[in-house]
Amino acid sequence: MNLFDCIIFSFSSLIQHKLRSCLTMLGMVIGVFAITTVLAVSKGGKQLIISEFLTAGTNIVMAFNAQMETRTDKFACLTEEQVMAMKEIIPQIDDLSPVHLLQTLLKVKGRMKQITVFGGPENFFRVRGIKASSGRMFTGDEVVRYEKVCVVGKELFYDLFGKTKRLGQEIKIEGTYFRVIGVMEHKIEFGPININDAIGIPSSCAMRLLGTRDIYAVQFLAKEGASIPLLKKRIKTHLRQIFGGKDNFDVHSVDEILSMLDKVMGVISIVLGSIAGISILVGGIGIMNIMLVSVRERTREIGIRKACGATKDNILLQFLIESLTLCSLGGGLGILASIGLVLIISTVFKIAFFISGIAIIIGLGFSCLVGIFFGVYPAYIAARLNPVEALRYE
Amino acid sequence: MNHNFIELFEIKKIYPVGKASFAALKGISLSIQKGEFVAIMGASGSGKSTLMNIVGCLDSPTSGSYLLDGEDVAMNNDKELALIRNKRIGFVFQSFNLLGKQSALDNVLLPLLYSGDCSRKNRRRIASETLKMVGLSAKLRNKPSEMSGGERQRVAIARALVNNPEIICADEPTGNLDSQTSHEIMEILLDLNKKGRTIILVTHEADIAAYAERVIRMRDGGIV
Repeated sequence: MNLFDCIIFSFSSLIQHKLRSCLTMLGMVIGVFAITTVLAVSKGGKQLIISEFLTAGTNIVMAFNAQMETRTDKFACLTEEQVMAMKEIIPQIDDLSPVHLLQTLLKVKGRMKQITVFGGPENFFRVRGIKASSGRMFTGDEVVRYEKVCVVGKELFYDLFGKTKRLGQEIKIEGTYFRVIGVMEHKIEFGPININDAIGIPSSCAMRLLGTRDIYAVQFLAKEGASIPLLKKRIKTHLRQIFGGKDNFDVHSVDEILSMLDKVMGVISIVLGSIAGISILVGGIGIMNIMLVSVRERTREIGIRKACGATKDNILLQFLIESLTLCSLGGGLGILASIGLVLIISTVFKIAFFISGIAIIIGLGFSCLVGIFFGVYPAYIAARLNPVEALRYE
Repeated sequence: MNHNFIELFEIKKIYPVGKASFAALKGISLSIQKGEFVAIMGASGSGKSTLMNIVGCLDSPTSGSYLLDGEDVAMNNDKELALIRNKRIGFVFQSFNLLGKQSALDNVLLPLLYSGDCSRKNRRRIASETLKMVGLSAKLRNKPSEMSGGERQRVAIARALVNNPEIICADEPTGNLDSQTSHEIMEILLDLNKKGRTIILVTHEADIAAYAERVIRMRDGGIV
């Protein structure tokens, strides 16, 4: 009896027990569906988040005093000269800009809210890679002339003025009115400032409001092709020298957040995948259960087959192929269902989720393995039956 | 060929019953010639079915030797016994033992599938010709549940014949049939015997045993 005959046989016997076969497969369908969907969604989600982070710029490094609060000089800080000198000392730096930070209370949507205000030189926007979504950013000239202008993060601008309001409004920051000249485009949060919810003013004005020229945060733009980890290391060592061996400033880059995120997402997909894997296992046990019942129920059939010349191997193969068929068919249906769901999610949420070949291979491979693993025992029981006793079985 | 076709010597079959044991066959010696029609008679529990199962290679004896066409098969392994059952022996049972959910044709195809030495198309041709031989050419697609007892037994006979075996083992083939159908079935077996097949029939009905050339009577695991 060749393999093809065996497969035909197994199929026909599965078709003869349609309801039972379908119910048994259901466990497998759900398990494989879960595992492929989890893999697809976690992978798509990861890509989505990463692409979001990439907009923050992977070549930006930020050094800041982590304990920094506004208007305080209790903490370690840098002078303007120290900051500017770093550009000459560290070759990987393309550009840098000091950041002055203060918090102010503003009435947003009727409630008082603490808002971060940052002061920077005109190159702040180039270093951070921020473009104006409307209006313009302030110029070096305006910085020098202590011009009371400000740029506002997109979210905060909408909260303050609504979507229809034009530029040119004034915002009162610590008693001084600043005229809004531009709106900053959306940026992912990174470092001490959430650009979307912040107000930017010329550094000169910020220093005047703060009453100090001390610098608590600096952002760096790496040279094209420069190694970010190396740059971070150079900045760290340099700052440590300045602070007499202490790490008073934290040095961060977007790519480290990315790699952390990568790890977190990896753990999440492993956890979710394991849960889905457990459901495949449960499906497999269901299949073993049914196959065992089926062996009992078909004892006489096995006897007849043996009387007609079936060997142990023939019977073993038949039952093994039956459970393998149930599992792989269930797995295939699960993958189809998963593809369907992912397509729906992608179109509805306009997110490019997709099922990778690897997810399909994992899903199908796992279900086949389960089929063989949980099919072997019932098949062995069936094959081992004594033909005389099997024929006598009622 | 000088030897007997079937030669049993001191065949014992002992079943464990708890800690004790029960001897179903207590040392049977028997020889059957090629082309013989032998009936084994006896009350239930006399060991006649056990004997037939051993002759039919469905079961192995506990001890003793069994020469089939000069070859000792008593201690053959599962694979070798399966091959003998498939090629050389056909079974007909009291309760027909057909696969209930499969058509007559599929049932008859079964031994051909396990022998696996002809093509799909040929198998179908051989199976339907065999069914035609037992007069069921119109019922190839019928399932056993759609047939009468006599028709079912004919399907079983067709299945036993399809691999063209030398021996037909029939265990109470008429036990579930009325007397007219019984005689029809026996006529078929008789006809097969005339065509050269060795037939071993187990029965407890004297008029059925009368079809055989030789009757072997058994009692308590021995030949009387």
